[in-house]
Amino acid sequence: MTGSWLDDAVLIERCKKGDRDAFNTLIDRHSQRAYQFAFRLARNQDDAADVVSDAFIRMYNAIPNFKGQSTFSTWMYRILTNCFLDRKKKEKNKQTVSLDASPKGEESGASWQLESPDAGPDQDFERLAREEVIQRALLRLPEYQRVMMVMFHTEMLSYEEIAEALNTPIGTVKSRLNRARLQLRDILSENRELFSLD
Amino acid sequence: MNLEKARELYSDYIEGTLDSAMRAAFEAELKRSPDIQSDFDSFKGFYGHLNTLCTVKVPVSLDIEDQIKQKIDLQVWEAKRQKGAGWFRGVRSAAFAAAVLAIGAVGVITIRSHSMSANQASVLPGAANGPEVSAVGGAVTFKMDPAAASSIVVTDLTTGKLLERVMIPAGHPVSVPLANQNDAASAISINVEGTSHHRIVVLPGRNPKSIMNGKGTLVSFAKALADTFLDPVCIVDLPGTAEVSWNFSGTDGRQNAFQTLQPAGLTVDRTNELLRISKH
Repeated sequence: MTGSWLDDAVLIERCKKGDRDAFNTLIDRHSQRAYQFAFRLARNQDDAADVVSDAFIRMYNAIPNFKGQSTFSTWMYRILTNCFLDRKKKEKNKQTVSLDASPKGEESGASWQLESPDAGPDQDFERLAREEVIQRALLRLPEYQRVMMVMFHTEMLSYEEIAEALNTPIGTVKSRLNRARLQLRDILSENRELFSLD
Repeated sequence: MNLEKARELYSDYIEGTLDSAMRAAFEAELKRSPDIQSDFDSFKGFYGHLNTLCTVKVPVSLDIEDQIKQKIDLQVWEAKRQKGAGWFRGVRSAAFAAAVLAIGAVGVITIRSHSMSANQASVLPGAANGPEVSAVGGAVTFKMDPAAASSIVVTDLTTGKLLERVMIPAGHPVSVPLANQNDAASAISINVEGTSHHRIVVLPGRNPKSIMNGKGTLVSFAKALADTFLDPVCIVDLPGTAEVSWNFSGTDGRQNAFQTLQPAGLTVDRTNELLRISKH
């Protein structure tokens, strides 16, 4: 592998000169994070892998035009988001499933695991149940809101970074995220015993 | 301030980003309206739960890096393939059409002086996963369907210039048309790295001149053969540096050509329009 110690910006410059090894280093460095983001959006391992592959191919093709006005990872989030939304749009165009069909990911066998907090078995169980319910509820949000929620609450991006990644004014990001949280809370009101929403 | 207006401020208030005047107005509203206070408390509790989402682990993909790299390899390969001309960087010679012989539609046809054994037939084009060169209907094509990712190196033997070094992913068969736009016959070497697979492909030129007599390397011989009889030639798993002399004159020039190589332990077979030079 070439340049695994190099900064992203240096690797990008090398990519622009046709250094394929440099791009491979960027793949090695960022693909797992990209996969986790995509999985959180899609909740399906195959879909996540496809989204990530598509995104990196787009990046590979577009890197000669990358101006460096944002970091590589912010750019990556933007392209991942576009790939995810494009995929969803295509799915909707050919979708004929019934309205009560469960999200694809719920049958994928993918499990969500918590890092082990210092809590007893009952608390662990309750916490697991709560996280699972939140994740399912996230799937019921419009895709764009879901993207923002995942960026902010799981990827821990700042409002500024989200605004940059989505090419959206920061005020719009904040107001949409606030609305998404309110909507998510309303969805979760079915499980108010887990969340003390009363 | 009604409930809807108050709700717009929930996140900003919790995150402490409201300016002082707005914060004061919001807090006053919370005191004034039990409904808003209750709704806000519910939201605040929920917001706390959201902050635990980052602790949720998701599955790790063990091969995502390889999947991405393989797809990019494939895309690069496809882009190059669609450029057309391929490694000879030219338009396929019209001379091929005149050179097509009236042979069977399928199968291997040998026109050398002795018949081909079953053992020899097994190493002709079509061997599993190895590189394959074919010439049908005037089109010369390099094909490969590797069982494992394979790196191939293509070199122009006239200039010694490296033309391509390409990774072919496993399970992605490739087919590359070969053409020659030079006036005289041209030769390229196609080497599958890490294996004994090696092909030298010689295509007749656009304005070929017969070289009936000569002496030189096997590649020179193949060029003379190609330009004299207007047939593409493929040298299979041989270095191409062996010294040979040839004389194509006589009543049956082709047979003379084939017999030229017999003392060197080599044979010339014909598969459709392709002449193949290989070891006995």
